[in-house]
Amino acid sequence: MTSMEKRLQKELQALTKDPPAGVIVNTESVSQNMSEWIVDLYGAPGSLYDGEKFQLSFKFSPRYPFDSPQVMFIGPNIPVHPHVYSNGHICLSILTDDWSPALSVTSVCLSIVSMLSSCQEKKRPPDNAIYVKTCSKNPKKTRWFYHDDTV
Amino acid sequence: MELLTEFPHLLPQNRQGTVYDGFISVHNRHYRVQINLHVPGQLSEASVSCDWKLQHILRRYEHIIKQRLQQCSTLHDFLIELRSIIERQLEQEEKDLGQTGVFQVCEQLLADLEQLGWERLVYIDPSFQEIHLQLMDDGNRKHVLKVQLSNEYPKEKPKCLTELPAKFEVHWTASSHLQDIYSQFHHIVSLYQEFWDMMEEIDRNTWVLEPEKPNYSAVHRRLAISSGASVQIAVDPKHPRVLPECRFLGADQAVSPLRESMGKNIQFWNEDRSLLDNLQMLLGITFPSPSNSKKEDFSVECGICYAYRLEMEIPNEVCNDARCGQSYHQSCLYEWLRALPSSRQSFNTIFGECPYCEKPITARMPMK
Repeated sequence: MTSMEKRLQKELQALTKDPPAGVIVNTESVSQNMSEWIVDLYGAPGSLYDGEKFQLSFKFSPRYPFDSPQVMFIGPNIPVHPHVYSNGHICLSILTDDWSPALSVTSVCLSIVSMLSSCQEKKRPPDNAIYVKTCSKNPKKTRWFYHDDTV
Repeated sequence: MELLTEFPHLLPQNRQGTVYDGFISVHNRHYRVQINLHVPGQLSEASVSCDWKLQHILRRYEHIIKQRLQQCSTLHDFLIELRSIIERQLEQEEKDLGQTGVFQVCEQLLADLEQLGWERLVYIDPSFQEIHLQLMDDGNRKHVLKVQLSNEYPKEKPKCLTELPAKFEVHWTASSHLQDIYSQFHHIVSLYQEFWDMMEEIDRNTWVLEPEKPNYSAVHRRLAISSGASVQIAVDPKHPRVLPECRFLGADQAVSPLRESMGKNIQFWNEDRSLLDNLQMLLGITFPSPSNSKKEDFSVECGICYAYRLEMEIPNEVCNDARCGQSYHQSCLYEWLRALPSSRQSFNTIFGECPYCEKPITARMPMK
């Protein structure tokens, strides 16, 4: 096993044994391929997304955790949120510039849940239409400008 | 005339030149040969007789010799052919003799083992080239001596592989045997008894982080002191009670009190006491031991790869911030910091931020 697989194995163990509220890793998807995970995310009670179910896709490069994972929403329900584009891409600094190996799948999931929870009004990013048409498939290829820390 | 220069010891016995008698020389050995041509100059009718040694050498070549007699036009040509046949056969015999050399080695070896005692033999390979002998020392420790023999044994010095803290040099003479190596090994092993006694006491009563499984040759130990600190000692196997070289590993706030108490207590080092006693006195601590703790408490994982052991490495770099104290493998931390634009490198040290607490941290370049 490579160093990356060993770490993911440990993360998976911790996440399945002791999952944070609203985060459930789809172990079936992971058992086939260690470098691609699907995580089910539930909107926090009391938030605008209460009762909604989302799916997050995690893709890990062989250089993980030195490289950040590629994280995006997939499936039929993409949350309507000022930092989430309709193609599932998420504008979140810890996924690119502010990534650190001290972060993990669990902490990324928690950050996304908290990002959703602090939302005041369900709306798409203002540049959604043009971004979705022109962006790369890989959200990590986008030059993100993190301008709004309030949501 | 040609015949006389090439074969000077073979002389014609009559005027017609039909009978020759004398010696043929091959590899400085001389064999008696008589050749009777019966008809002058007519080789095909000739008869050849020789001494028993040559007969033995040529026993399988009779038909070839007859053939050569038919083919060769002069006696000189025939004799050259005959000589090359003898040469070839002698070379072949020498090679065969080499084969029997192996049997001689085996025979010698069996006799040696008989004398040494079969109970000391733990392994012998099917070609009798490698032998492992065991030795129980005074401390009831089992040592294995691996001997590699050549075909030239006992003429040639065998190679010895041992697990000793220093190189094992065998004194070997032409008349030496396996028993001599064994007794030399026994002597050397007896010299290190005190060293192994001291190390065993340490291994039993502390958590040894490195080496993973110390063998009899290991003079280094890395001993856990707390979850964030350890000490690496290098013991002199010839003087195991002398103060060893000590290197502390861990965060500053964990290590500096140890350094302080070392400076204070170094004068009380007492060579009559055991190494472990002295170390505990020196550092003013009691090492956590298997009787009161779990090893997992001290084998703290790397904050980047989440593993304790990365090939041969264990986490060596520690964040010096008291509230963080995160451990990292040197190579993991270096790998992370060197990719960051905010890091700064000076010679073989890189300065950056702890991935967990973002306080300044340094990593030395791993030696590859």
